[in-house]
Amino acid sequence: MTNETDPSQRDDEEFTQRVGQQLRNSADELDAATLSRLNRARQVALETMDHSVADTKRGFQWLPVGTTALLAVIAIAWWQGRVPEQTGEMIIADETIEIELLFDEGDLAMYAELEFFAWLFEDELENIG
Amino acid sequence: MSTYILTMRRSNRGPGQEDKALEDIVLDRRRAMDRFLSGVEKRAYRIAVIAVRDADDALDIVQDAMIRLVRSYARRAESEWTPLFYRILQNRIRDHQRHQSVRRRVLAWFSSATDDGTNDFDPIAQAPDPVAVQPDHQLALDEAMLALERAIQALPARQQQAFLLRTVECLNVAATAKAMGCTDGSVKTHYSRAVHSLRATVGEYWEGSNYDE
Repeated sequence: MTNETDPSQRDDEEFTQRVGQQLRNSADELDAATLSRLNRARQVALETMDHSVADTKRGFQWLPVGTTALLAVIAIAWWQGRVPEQTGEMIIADETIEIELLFDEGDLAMYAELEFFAWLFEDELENIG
Repeated sequence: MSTYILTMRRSNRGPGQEDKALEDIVLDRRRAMDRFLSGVEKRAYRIAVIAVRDADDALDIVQDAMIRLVRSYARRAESEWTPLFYRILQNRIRDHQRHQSVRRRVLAWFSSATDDGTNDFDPIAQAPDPVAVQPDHQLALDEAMLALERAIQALPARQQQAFLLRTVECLNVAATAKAMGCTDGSVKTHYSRAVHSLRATVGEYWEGSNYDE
């Protein structure tokens, strides 16, 4: 078995290296107007990222409000003795408050949104913690 | 009855500290995306220009690909952004080419004499003006580039994609396969056929060491 490169394959590689280099050179030497438009396109794309983040932050801001409202509803229902399908128990520790709530499918829509924000928020903070 | 458990733990950080932490995360991600997009935009634009033969359309396609990447895949690992971006770019190029094909058929049906702009594309005008190059060498280079771009445009779509992604963006076979949505073997086949076809068509322009830089 020969270790030499097939001449045809070698010629192919030389050809693709030459044309590839010239094509990349032409990309690096775009005119100023085109570069400016590309820069603007990039900024527009990054702005959509900023909007997405702003929406997420607004969701986070509502998280404690929504949770508080939820707790109030449960507390009232429990107080009035009407908890046929809902149960709750609250454990208070020195530094943390853990709340376990069991819901039926009727609260699925609201729960799904709260669960997502809680997971996302905890995940991000633990990553930087 | 399905049941769900929601557990919430209050951290020891204050609300202001949590907001700041979130902002830092977002800022880092934005910077990374900015670096990535600024690194690929010029080559992506050249690939799009060669494929669609129109500078304005190419810019729209590149911007659209950037937006779609940011909206849908910004949370993915950075290592995934390159093949994802070029997958989106290739899809947009293909959509554009299909629309142009339909448009040309409609125009031909109505026997319109309208110029659809494809004849306005001048690769020489679009080509850069290298500095400190001898005039005769520049002319030869321009001719070679013009011939090359026309030959690339004449390739079947999959061969064109494989060739541009591998030679302009220098993607390896695996990344090219991800960008094209095909197997590694298909990439190798398309690329090999493209190279052979281009060498047969424009190889004489590129022989010798005149264009080695």
